[in-house]
Amino acid sequence: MKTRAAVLLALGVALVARPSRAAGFLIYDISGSAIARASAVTADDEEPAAVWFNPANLAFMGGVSASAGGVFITDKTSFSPSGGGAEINTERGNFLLPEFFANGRLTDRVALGMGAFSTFGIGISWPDDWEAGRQAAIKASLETLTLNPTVAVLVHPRVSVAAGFDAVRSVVDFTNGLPAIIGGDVRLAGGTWGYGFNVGALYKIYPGRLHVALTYRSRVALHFDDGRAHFTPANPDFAPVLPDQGGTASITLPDIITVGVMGRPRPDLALSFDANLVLWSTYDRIDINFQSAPARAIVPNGQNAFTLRAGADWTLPGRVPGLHLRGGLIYDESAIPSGNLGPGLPDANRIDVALGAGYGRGHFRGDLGYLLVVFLPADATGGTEGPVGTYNTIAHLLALTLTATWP
Amino acid sequence: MKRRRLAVALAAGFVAAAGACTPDVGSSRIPTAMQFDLTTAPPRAPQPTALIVNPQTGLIDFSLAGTPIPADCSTQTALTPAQCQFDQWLQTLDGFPSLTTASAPASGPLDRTTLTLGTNVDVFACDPKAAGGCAANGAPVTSGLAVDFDPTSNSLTVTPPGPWTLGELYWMGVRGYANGIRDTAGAPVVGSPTMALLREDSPLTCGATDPSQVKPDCAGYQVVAQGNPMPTPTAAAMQLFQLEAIRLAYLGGGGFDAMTASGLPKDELAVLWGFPIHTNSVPLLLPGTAAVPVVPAANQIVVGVQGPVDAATVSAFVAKVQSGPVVVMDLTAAAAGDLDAGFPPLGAAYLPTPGAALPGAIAIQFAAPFPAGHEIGLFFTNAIHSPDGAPLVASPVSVLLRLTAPLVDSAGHSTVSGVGDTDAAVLEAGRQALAPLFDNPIFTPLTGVTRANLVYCYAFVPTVMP
Repeated sequence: MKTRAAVLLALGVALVARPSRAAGFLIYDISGSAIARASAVTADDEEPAAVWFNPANLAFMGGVSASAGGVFITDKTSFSPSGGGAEINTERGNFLLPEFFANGRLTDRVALGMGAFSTFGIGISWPDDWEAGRQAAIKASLETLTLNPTVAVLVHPRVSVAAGFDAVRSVVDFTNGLPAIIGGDVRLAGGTWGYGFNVGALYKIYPGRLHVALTYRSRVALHFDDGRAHFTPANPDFAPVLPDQGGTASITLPDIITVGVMGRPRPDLALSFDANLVLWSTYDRIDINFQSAPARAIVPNGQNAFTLRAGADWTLPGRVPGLHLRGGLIYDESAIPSGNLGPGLPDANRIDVALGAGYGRGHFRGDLGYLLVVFLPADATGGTEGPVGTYNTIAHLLALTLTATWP
Repeated sequence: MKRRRLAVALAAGFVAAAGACTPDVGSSRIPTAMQFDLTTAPPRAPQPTALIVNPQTGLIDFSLAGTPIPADCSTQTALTPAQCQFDQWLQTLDGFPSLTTASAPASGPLDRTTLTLGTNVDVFACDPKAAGGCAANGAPVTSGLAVDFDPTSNSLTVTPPGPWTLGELYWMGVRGYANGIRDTAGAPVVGSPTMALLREDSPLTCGATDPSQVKPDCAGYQVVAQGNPMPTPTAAAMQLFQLEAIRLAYLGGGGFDAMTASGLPKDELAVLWGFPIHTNSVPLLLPGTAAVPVVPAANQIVVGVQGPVDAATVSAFVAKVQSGPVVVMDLTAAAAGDLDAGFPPLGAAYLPTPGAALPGAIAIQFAAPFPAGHEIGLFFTNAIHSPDGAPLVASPVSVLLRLTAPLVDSAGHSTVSGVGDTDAAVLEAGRQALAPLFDNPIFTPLTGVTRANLVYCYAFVPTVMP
């Protein structure tokens, strides 16, 4: 029993470093089955992670089900200075993000769901001796864990709606270099809770053949009022004026509006298309205030951004019952304008390619998905949030989800 | 049952993860520092300092520290009236008084045993006008000076056994960090952000020729711009130029070279400062030290003078007979209304003393022994000159005694920085005793002594007759 608790605790602790693998620092792709079809699953009532993608789908799911899984992410970013010079590379980031979902029907018309997942995060680590960029970021980490209870109601045999509550625990941990004469760095960390809500709707125009969906997730304000800052100036002359002290900062996670459609031109093929509008304008400026040290402002000047998703799910009922073959494409628009691009969040327009498969038998099913995220070269032109140059990033996501369902 | 156990375990895992505490960012002890902050009011910086000697006029100028002294002290409230009047006097000098204790503030108590002259605290004296730079024509001062820590002001102090040499420039450096002085906890003492910038080898302004041209990525600007309170960009650029001027002054004045010549390398300097001593000769007065008059005979008193004096300008005031810059009064007799006895017949002369610590003295000879129990007052005016025609200047104590403003406040605290409460109380008693004399409508027309031209003021009561 102790071993099991330790494993669970370890899984929880593993929710630490968070990369950002959708525009901005949104991690939209969090389930093995969804990733394989580009997470275009808003209108799919078979998605285990419906609590996240569209809780209205829960009203159409029978029985009780629970799923557990994880997304392994590995990525690396490089920076090429515009004036020439050596390319700078981040440490390769390797992250494991566990996700848990459970849902069950309470009555014929009402279903409940619960999810614990991580959908926003930053995790990047640049060389400490990168002179040009260290003041903007040496290490940046933003972790979130969302606890999301939700209720779905079948308001019509073809229409369901849902609403949920989001409690978001977030921990930030940033290390930035101090000006050259001072040297050394400052590490600022803090944790807080933020709260929001989400709603969703699913309309089965032709049940099983054509569905449309609409979801909305509210913004979540995270006020880090109890942050701690630890200054380690390399030049000791600055140590007396840069003591360890408290700090505050606020970050607002963006609203997300999603529309989706799923159609089955053939019984064995589901095609789906989703579009997300993420209101990254909430992420326009972060003021970091210290008790005595000078305040610092990060100005990402976030812009609202679209993401377009297309996915396909092909089954082989005649040959391998229970097998799903999946694929998808994503175009993800950068949330940070080039003039505000910095090493803490080297955002870019992205093109993602998804592949995967799933297999179910009896009460159990397993889904495996892979996503190749190709960041298009992103020019940082401003010079205020970091050095001028070009960022290049490649990321790979591999997700496995195991689901158990009881009628 | 199994489902319930699984659910509970899952919930426990979520709670464990969700309750993740803020990462421990670590902590570090704040080291004790030698302070050098010109942005506070008043500046927390070593004193005295050449930084407030105006290179154009050659005189002390407090406006260089951002605290200009008005011509009329009643028009300001930033300083006490006494401090304002005292600073007005300082601004008439081309250097600091020779009876000055040098001090450098610290952020915490220092271990006195580590304040070792010649190793951790280096003093270098030179003639600032000599060719070749300070380091080439000066020498370290490795003995005689008393280095101590004053817990009242949290300052390291350097006190000479006698007056500093007139016209000399003194550089003082304190060795900090691993090889230098320690605080009372035994930890190394560090410098200040200002000192870090002053130690820079290249211009702080990154080549900008005026503050408006300073680029935001200039390393020095980035440091100054993050000051607390955070200055505006314009103010930060101005501060940067001020610091660069100081850096150049330190380089031009040979401060770093002087310390290197003393064995204190630049990178171990926690604080460095320099100050010139004024060039004018001065009749010395510092009660409680050797700098007080001596009475070698029953009718003679001798006042030591630092610096040369033109003997022809030394003469005694004799009532109804001759005017002169050396005025001696029997204050007891004068107070009793006997003006004849109040201005007894006397003579005054300059007595050179070659080879002595002081080059000379003004000797005052009464025709008869001092009347026992009477209070005798001595007053010199600036009509006494040195051979080059420069008038004598007052010592600080004489100046404090002639001020019109009180030297202690209603709570008994000194109103003049650098003067302790106890000393201020004693001086205030003397000031109050002398004030009626300076305000007497007859005294000035009769003797020619005014508050403005007074360079020496002393009173004594001869009680033991030889």
